[in-house]
Amino acid sequence: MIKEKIMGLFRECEPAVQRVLEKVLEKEWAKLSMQNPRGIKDDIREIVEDEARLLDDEA
Amino acid sequence: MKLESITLTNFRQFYGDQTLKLARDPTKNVTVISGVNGAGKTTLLAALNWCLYQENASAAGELVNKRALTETPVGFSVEAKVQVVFSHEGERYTVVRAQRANRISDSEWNREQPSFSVSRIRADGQFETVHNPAGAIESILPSSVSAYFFFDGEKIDKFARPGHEDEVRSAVKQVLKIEVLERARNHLAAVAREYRQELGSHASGELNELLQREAQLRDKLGTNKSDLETLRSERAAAERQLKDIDGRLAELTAVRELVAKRGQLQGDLTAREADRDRLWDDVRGIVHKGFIPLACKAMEQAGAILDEKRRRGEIPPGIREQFLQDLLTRGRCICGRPIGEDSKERRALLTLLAAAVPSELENVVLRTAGDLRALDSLCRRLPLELRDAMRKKVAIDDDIERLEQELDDLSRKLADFDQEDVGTLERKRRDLCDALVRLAGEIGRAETLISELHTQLEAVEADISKAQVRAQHAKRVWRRFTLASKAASALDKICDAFAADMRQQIREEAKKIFDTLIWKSSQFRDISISDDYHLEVLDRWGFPARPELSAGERQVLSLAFICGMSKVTGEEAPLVMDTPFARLSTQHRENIATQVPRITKQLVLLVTDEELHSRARDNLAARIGAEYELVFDQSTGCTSVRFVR
Repeated sequence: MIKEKIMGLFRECEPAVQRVLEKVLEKEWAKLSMQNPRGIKDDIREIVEDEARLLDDEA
Repeated sequence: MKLESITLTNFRQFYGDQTLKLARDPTKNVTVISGVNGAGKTTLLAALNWCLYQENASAAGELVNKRALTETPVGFSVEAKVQVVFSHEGERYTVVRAQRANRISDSEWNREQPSFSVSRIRADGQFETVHNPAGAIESILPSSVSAYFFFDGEKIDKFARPGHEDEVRSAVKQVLKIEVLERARNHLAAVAREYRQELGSHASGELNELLQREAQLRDKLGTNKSDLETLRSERAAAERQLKDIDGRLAELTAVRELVAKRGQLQGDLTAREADRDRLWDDVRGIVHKGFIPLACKAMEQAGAILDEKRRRGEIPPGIREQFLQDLLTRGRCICGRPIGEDSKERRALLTLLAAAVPSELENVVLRTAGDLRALDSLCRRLPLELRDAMRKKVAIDDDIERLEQELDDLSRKLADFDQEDVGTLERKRRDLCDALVRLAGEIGRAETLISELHTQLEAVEADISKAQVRAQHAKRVWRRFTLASKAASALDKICDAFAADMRQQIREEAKKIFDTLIWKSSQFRDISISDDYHLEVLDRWGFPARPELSAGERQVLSLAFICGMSKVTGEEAPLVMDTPFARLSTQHRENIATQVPRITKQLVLLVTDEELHSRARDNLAARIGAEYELVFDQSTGCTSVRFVR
């Protein structure tokens, strides 16, 4: 329930930012139990890269 | 999460298998587990935490039941085990944690590391073993959050104690998963910083500066080309005037001979200047080979080594590899005699073949020897060629100087000629010649400058291409930086707004619950949770009343806060409370017994026989779905679970 509440917070962001946030939060959620989840920053960079690539194509 | 059953097997004072099936019916959602002090209520709570989170239950003593330990023969083992079955989002989980003790002597047991497993029956009926059991439990009810659902009732008043803002902050953040938002924001900000650093390596104004530089160079080049054209035009005009003067002078009978002589001298001078240019080319060629004499000694030594090897017959070898191969293949000598498979001739040929130099290496050696000889000859020839060239140059320079002198004398003669036209024309001619020399210099300088400008322009164009590539890359990096930054900023705003909103909702819920639980509700006006998570209760006059709360009232306030959080998050976790009523007065017990089962989805109460009686029990009765008694047997020192109803 709280997850849906949090995910619903980004509806007003621009679509690319919204998609990044949703994917990032899913990733963080999955690794919340870990104190220092290894490789999470790389995963997030990849999420940003993927979304930015779509913007590159649009540009 | 909804707890279905807890089974303890030889866990501390619980001997054998002891199972408690917990009430799950929405209308009968309370399980009461009663027992006197020391019967095992706290052990049961510890067993639940140990099974799910491996919380250090062994700190309180031996995990394996002591009766079971002593009953186990030497060489055999016994296991302390807790099994928790719960359902969550349509799936049924079975969690088992066990510790095995192996008896190695009458008084010694070797204890193994606890084992842990989680299996589940999925919504589609499929059974599966969970491969990351700890992760699975953490994702259902994180250990950090579980403390707000499985707790000792007497100790929960910490939320309401002054100076415990950190506890409140931590609870709100963990239960509301604000930590997820904060982590995501921090990680996104870190990624944005990385992109920012990448951007720093692509200087933003670099391309503009290069384009400006290119434009400047092009302007300069244009101006210089135009100047060069002007100079060339001037030279062409001067040459035309010179030709015209030469023509007019040649027409003058008095000086025709001198003019013809000058034409001849001029021709000779041009020829000698051409000779000098060619000679300079030759000298440059010789000088470029100037390093060869420096290597003369090394080449001599290399040649001597090869000669010595040749003298000793090592290079080239007496018998060529191919020749030996052919004999062995044919199996017959050139004299016609056969070479048998195991003959001494064949063995001799194989020995020779092993010593033979491969034909390719042989060719290389021969080629090198030839090259060394050619270089040696060049070494000796080069100094002679250079000396000869320099001698020729001196002769040419002398000729040129002489011809220039003769031409100058001739010009002076013509300039001083009695006939006015001749003198005027010749002086004009000399001015033109001076102008042509000056123009030649200026044209040369202009051409050099233009050539340099072209070189600079090519370099700048190459830099522009690189900068354009970098600019495109920078654009892409900028896009990524912006995206990560925007996401981090959005989280930043959302995080604070969400926390504030959740605080407000928890405050409202906690207030409602507090009002129903506290017996003197009219004395308290409100509950507040400040921005710095300071939990406060305001009295009827609006003054902070928390410092004046009794221990029981603080416990009620904390319970209201926990229930408020649970309601706001919608977290489907059971509330397991150990001795929740011990410090509470009758009115509070009755209120809690009435209200909490309505607020929470599942309630497990671990109570003493004294805690729950009279109206409190009456209030709870309709909600009780299961009731057990923990019975301690003094004769065995063990506890067993008795099903009451």
